[in-house]
Amino acid sequence: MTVQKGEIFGIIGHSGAGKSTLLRCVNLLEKPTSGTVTVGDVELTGLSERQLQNQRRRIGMIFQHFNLLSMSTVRDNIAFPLVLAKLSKFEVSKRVDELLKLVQLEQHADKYPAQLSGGQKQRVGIARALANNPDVLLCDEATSALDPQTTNSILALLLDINAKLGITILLITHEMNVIRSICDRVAVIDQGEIVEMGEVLHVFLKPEHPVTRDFVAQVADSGANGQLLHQRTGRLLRMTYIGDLTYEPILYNAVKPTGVQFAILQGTVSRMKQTPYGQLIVELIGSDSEVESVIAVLRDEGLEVESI
Amino acid sequence: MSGIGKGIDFENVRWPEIWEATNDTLFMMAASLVFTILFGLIIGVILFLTSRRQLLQQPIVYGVLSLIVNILRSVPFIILMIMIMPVTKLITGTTLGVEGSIPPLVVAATPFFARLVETSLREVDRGVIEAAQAMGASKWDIVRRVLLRESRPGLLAAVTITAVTLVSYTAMSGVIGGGGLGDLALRYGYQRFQTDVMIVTVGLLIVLVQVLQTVGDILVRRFSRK
Repeated sequence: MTVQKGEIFGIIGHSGAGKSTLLRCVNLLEKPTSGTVTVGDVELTGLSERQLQNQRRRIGMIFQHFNLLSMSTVRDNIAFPLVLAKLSKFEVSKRVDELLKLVQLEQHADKYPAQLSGGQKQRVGIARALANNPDVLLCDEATSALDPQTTNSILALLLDINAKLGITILLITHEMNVIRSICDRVAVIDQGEIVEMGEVLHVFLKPEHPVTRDFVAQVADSGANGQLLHQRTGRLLRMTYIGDLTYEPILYNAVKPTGVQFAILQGTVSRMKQTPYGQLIVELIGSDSEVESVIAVLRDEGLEVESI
Repeated sequence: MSGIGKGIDFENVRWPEIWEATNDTLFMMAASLVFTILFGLIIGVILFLTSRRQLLQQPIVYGVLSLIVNILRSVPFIILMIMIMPVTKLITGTTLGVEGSIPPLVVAATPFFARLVETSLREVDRGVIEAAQAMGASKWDIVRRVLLRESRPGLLAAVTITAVTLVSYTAMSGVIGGGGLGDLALRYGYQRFQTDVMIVTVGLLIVLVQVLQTVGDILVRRFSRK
């Protein structure tokens, strides 16, 4: 499995599927029994303990339960990795100020973790992980202990960091929403094996493995059920829009010159990361030749159309 | 002889001697506490690190150290004091008086304190240790900057308990001529039936323990962040 530089890569799986173990193998918190781990140009599995400690400074990590030093202030928590890297007092304090600003916690610098909300704690975690300008950020269920609103603000921050700093983000989660909101690519893991991997949009719209379908169903509307679809007499189509097409009146334009009528039985119009997409299940009612010509027009416009 | 029933006039109490004994007790307690903290912290940290699933997991080292600690803790203090007399003599040149009681006090309190340290360190969140490892912390960094720091309230409570225990041990060392308030209570209160001396010395010991516990509690509260 390879994660590209600068991308946000998500690993999704049920609890116990092995996603956490996989993530912790990346910085060797968990030692793999076989195989190698390479981050950048450095093969971590072949390093001495001392060298590994140095390499780990290039890999930031944030955690589900934040894992902050409860006896240290926000400022000292963020300073911790810098102190470990033996920076001078002046450099440490300058860098901490930058980081506090990045995660918008300037007013909370002298508080202790117990005085912060979950979202604020995770911001401290992110600032701490970014302190040494790492190339990679590992996120171990970073939003699983947060409410939906806070989750969104943390995801927005991660997206922002990825865009601004070009840092590669590898995250694990059991929430499809997280994958849909910020990931470029996704791997689905089940019982210790990666069962599906690819562009999020692709995996999302055409899930192949049953586990993947479960996850997709988490966020998709479960509108029309199979029975309902069976009772319909017209042609049933699944149409998939990707990109700006999503907001065009394509279906209307396609049926207008013909006598075909349509009914939308189920539909989603949403965004995946920055890309708009839509998926509709539509019944077309009309003569066979007219229906075929409508389908041809839709395909011409760039929609994916399949009969069901 | 005066008795409680007839009212006490404290005729036998020689206050200068009482103050000197109080001073001796305070000195013995403080000096042995310093050494106990030093040795106990080191042994406690080693016990913690070498135990199962910890950073330096070493079952044999842990087993041996744990056994020594248990043995020292199971010998009653009064017997331990007598047992290590030759060692005491070697270190301080005497087995009597204030100096003579410090080595046995340290030997008795160190294993006790070491266990308390080990227990406090176990309370430190594993996740925080892991986070430090992920940030490239060495084992020494983790001991110094994570374990000892995160367990500070627990360690302060352990010091308080140990200080109080040491006060009662100093009193016992009076049996072998150790000096201090316990010595006074034994020689006058017990052997010469001077109940008034007994009451004064016990009263002072109670005050001392109260002060130690209160100060300890305040410090623990002051450093708690949860």
